[in-house]
Amino acid sequence: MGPTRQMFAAYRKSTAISLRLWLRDRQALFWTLAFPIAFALSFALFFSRMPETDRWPLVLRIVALNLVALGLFSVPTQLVTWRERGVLRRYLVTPLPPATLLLSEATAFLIIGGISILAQIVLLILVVRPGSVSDVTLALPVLASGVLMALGLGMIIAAVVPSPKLVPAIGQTLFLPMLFLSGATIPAELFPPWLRTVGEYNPLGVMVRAIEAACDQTPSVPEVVLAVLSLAVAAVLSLLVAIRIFRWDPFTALRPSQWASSLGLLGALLISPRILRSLIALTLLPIGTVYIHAGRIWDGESDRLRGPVTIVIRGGTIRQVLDGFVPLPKTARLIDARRLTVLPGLGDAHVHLAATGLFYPGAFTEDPDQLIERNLRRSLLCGVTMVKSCGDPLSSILRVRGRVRGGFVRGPALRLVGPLFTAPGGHPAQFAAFMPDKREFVRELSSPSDVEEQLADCFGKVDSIKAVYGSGIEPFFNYPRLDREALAELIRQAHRHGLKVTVHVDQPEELITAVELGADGIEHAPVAGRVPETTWKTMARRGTVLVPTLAVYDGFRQMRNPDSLLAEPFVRVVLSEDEQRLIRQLVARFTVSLIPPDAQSHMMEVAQNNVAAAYQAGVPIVAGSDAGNPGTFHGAALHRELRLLAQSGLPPLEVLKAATSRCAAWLELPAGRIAPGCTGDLTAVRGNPLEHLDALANVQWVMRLGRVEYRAP
Amino acid sequence: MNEAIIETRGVSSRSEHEAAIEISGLVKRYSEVTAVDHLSFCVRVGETFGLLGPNGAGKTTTVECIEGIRRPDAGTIRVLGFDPITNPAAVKARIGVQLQTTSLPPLITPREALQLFATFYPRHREPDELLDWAGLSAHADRPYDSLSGGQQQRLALALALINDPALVILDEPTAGLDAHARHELHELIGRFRREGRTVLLTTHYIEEAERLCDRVAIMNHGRLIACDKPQRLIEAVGAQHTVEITLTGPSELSVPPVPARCRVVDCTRPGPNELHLTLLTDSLPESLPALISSLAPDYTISSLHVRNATLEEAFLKLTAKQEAESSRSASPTVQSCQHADR
Repeated sequence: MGPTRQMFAAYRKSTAISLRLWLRDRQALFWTLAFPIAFALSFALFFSRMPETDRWPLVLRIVALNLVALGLFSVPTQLVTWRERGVLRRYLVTPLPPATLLLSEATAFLIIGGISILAQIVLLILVVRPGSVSDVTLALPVLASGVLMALGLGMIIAAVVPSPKLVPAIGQTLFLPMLFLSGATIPAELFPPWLRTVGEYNPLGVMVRAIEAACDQTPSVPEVVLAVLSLAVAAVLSLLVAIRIFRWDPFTALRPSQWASSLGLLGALLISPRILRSLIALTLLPIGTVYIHAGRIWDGESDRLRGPVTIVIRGGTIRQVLDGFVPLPKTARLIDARRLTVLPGLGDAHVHLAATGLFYPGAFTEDPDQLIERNLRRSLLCGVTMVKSCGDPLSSILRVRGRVRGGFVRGPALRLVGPLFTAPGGHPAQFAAFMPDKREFVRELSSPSDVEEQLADCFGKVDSIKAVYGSGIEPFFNYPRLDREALAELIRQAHRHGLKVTVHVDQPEELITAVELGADGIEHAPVAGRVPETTWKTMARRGTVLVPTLAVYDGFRQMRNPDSLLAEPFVRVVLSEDEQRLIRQLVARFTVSLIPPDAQSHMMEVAQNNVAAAYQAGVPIVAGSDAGNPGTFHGAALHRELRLLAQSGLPPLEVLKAATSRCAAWLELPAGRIAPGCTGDLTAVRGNPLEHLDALANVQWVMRLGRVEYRAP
Repeated sequence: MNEAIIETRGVSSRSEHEAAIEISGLVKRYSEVTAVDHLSFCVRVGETFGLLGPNGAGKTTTVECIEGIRRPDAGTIRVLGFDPITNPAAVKARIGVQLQTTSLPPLITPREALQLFATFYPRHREPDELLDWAGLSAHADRPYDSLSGGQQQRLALALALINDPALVILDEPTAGLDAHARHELHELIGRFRREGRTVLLTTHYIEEAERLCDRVAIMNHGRLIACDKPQRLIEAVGAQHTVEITLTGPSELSVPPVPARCRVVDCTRPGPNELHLTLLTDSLPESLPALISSLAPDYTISSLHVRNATLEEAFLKLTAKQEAESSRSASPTVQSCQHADR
């Protein structure tokens, strides 16, 4: 047997025996498993009513805290006790290289730590129900590198501390500041900025920031990679130092100078992950950097184009917008848009992602998750980089949102309202009849007293609330309308939880009531009559948003005429050959064609007049297509909406703002503008859309989070 | 069968190196104290060699330098032909060691400990066989901290044998054990000799050294005072045997004449017609028969006790002499391996 194989055999045996001893040691089991789990669970129960979006970060922060504690206390206690008892000396008189033993102890710890983390996560998932693990896959490497770092710190303590009695003292001295300052227990947002910064200078602080970045709606991969790299490098450094300075002989005390150097070393390693993070960021970050040389840009707000400019995107976020074509560092990637106009990615504030726009037989039995993902991809193809789901089966849309956040599904930034609040039997409960669990899609309120119960499970999951306060369009549709007081109570309770409420209306008087009751937005420009100017003024004053969804009215109309429908821009891009054929077959049995053509034309005219009046009064108008309804296809429909808004009398600048900066503000996303700090969601077109809105149809490429997701053939 | 293999091994290594351990001019200083001060001695292949000295004499430091876990400040060491300073791994692979206080993780079992240590060596003996050898088969799966002190020491001896070493170094193997456990351990150490292994043993139990060792080196204050067979050390210091004799007679007794080579050192009269004598002699075979025959006609011997001179006396004399001489300290003269007769 060669010396290396010899060493490996010894390492394996030693690791195996360490694990066996761990299983045998009740005290060790308590501190490595029972205690962290109990701690995590009690902490989690304490915060069990927090919003869903905050639950994963909470769970992972507790786990991170526990594993740092494990490293600071478990590893050194064991090794220091063994040294004091002379256990380690016995190994010295064998030919085994001493590092072998330390490495096998380290390996055993990593296995034990891994088991402990898994047990904690599984139990926390059962208790806190934070959502799908796929939402936070990015956080797992952070935890893994964290275990390694915890081990490194533990080894350093084990290397220099003379007595097991001193381990808790030193461990606590290091642990308590981390406990309070890192943001693991007390949210760092509560601290003044300087204290926040101080709190980052320890491994737990770095882990907590990375966990937050990983759990964010738009997770920052570079942030996570940075943290993982810095923690891993600091950990390996600590381990090497520990092996180098490890004392094998029992010793009783350290001289003051030795204490000083040991504590200094510990302190240095404690802050090293944060410092390494900065160093690695400085050297590596340009690799994730994209430079766009844009001939012209429209920034999402101003009334003219600017150019030529260079847009610098790093970590998925726009960092700089510089005049001229700035030469790029070697590590950055260039996107040449010198002959194009770059503008912010577009937003559609009203879509139903689980519906195709075709309503063919079997459309409702398709897997909603797949439908949603497919429609998200199709939206991207049309330059749409943010959408608001205004009614989709709750669990499906939440699952997909998790996959989009985790980077598993490429799609626009996704906002959602979850189930729709309506009257018993009201719109759109008729569609819910197809669904296994209709509460996934609608919540029926008979009276204000129902509100609390029906709303309770939405908090923490949905981004805003949508109510249906409509009675249909006489004489074609009729359905019961939500109780006025129930709507009032719904708006009150949602506002109390910081959620905006948007209200679907059919009739002008319903719009008036919704505005009176404090709705934040109105879905659908009324088609059944004129809305009085005073109401538009009120909305303008309050900043109440109007999402006209003219496109859906047009879609109903066009279902009669498949040729014109298929000739629309983007429709052939987003629909498969099969679907294009299907459109022709469906026309014959399409039920909405009950509305006669002249009535449909009249409805469109009334709606467009209302939009014009609203615009004149200063109402913020946001583009939304209601895609998913018959003849209204995801992505393509937004462009139809923009054309119809322009037709209603909005100048191109206003139309573009409705789909970019104003839409982003309504969706509460850091997007819709080309400015530092906004997400790198862009489209590039030929021509000047401020002069000719048609230029938008010339999409050359679409970028989401700094990555080109679509390029025109 | 196993004994035979070990015997062969012992013989073969004997032919390779005449000396198992050679130390010359060894110096080891700790910050203020010189623990080992120009120490030179030699352990021959196959012998059981005792390193004797009071606590703090430097025995453990010397042993640690031999084991390659402590770096001397000066001097040279050869262990089985290897230098523990420059090639500690080669030395460690060939020796078996029992540290002064061997301790193992509290929950490890003797079987696991032996299995673990077996993986550290390229060739090793079967753990089960060693458990048997150390009489630990019945306790093979009990946690270490539930074993008695004697069982723990026997496990330590078994661990020292795991690599079938030619040289075994035992540092205070019986310290803190009761008489029974010590006896068991002496049995095991005695077997080493029969197996042809070289043994280096440190102890401060003098009768242990006298009983187990072929040769003994006596250390004090880091220096070697003497190094020889126990019996020859006793003779060399001129230690004397003691004879205590109580005589009774019909009337008041006078002190009788004693033969040559005998000397009366004490005389008391415990009773009216009783006489108690303490005599010293350097040769019992010569003086005892002469003494008895000279007393026979006139005295009745009511009791007779003879105490042999011990290594302890030699040790005490030697250390006392060194304390006295420490002012004008010169390196003690020590027999080298070559000139010593066995």
